Amino acid sequence: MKRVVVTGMGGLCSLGSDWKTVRDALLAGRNGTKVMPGWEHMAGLKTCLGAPVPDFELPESWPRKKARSMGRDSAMAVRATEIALEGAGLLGSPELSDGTTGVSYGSTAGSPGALDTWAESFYQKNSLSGIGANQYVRFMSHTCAANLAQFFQLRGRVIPTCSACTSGSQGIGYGYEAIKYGHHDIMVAGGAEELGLMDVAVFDILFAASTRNDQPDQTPRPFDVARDGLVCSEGAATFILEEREHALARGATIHAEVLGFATNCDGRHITNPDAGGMEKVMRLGLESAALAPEAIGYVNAHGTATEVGDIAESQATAEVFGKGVPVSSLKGFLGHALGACGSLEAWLSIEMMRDGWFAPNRGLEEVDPRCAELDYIRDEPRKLETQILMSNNFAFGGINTSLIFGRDV
Amino acid sequence: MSPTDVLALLKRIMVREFDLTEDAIQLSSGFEELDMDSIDAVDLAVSVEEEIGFQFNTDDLAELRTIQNVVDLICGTRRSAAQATE
Repeated sequence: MKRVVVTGMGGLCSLGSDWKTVRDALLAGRNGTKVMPGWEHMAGLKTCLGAPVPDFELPESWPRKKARSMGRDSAMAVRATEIALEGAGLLGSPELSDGTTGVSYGSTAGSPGALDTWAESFYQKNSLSGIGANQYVRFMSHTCAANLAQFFQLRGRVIPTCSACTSGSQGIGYGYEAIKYGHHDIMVAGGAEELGLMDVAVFDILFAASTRNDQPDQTPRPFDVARDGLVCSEGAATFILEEREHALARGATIHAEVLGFATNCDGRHITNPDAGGMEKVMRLGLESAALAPEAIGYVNAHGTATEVGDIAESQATAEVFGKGVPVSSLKGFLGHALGACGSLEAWLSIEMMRDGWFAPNRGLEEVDPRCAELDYIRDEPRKLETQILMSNNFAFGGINTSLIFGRDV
Repeated sequence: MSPTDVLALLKRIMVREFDLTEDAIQLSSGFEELDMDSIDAVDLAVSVEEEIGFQFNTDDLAELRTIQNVVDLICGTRRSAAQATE
């Protein structure tokens, strides 16, 4: 088995597009939730809240032929990957295009903006007029992975991990496994999501979206008794995963080691989470890393601020770790970036571990008594030196993931 | 439409869609020379149809090599591939 390290990380989220900017926002306690202009026209939609990536436009320097097939989600994925590859010292490397490097990347679906354009013509106008050759490839399920491969000329395997809110964490996990089992030396891994009204509506229909429309700075509130649901956001985060000896041989900076990964399925209900399945995936993650629960110094929770999700996750976490492990969710700050959340949260968790502090559960004033007792980080960032953390994510379909990262490599 | 009008239309579309300068688009310009591929050809056809209602057929698209070919086809001075096989 090969050891797998992280040699590059890059991300875009509602709080910024580099660690320093995001760190300052986390330390200042800011969130990215905004009242979204134009959403009020949708009949029946109760929420008007979203957390977009501010000021992101398709870079003009990108060649037209490489950019034409991208929706906003793919474009963010590519930008995050440019940052990550540059940090890893691999931008422009021949190893990207000689088969050494593969890609493992996902989003909930393809670009909702591109799908809207297609659907409007197709179903409202009953016409193909105006639908160009690039419309479909912008919203096909594997658009992020495919665009990454085209843009960077990656010629290894392409693993699209389109599993809603575990797209990003499965991206990292399957990328890790591709290296661990010797298929590749380098994997571009992660997830992306484009904020679209269609995704928001999905949660709104299920009464799972926050409707504190007049208090965007007060929501979402994971684990809080007064939470009222999630806030959809967007972004992308890319990990450059590398076989450890390969990274050491080229003198790469190593940010962390991927110590373990597990994914499983509840196999029970299409939307309702199951604490048993969540507990199982955490135990499988520990088993894959050959670690006991006591080795984990911090758990980054999925913590979406939905009632059923928070309760089940807290119970599962307490079953595995007891009540002593420090836990926080970043969604009170970032919103729920769906297909991007797994890799965004893993990125920020590693950065916090390297800095020796962890962000609190923003908005958590009084823990819902139905949530299990845990060491929820509250109010202020907590100084905490730890060498190993776990990052968990859960998705529609009962899909669960658990990633374990180590600082000491 | 006159050939001059069609050329002006093509220039307008191609500057907008394909990041080309107007000067680069001449009757003698070849699609390869303009760095346009089959996907661009489809998008050009879609835009032309939207603007003036002219419909290209698959074989026509495959045979077009230059801007002059497109102008001639739209103006009816080039035999379409369908006519050629009749």
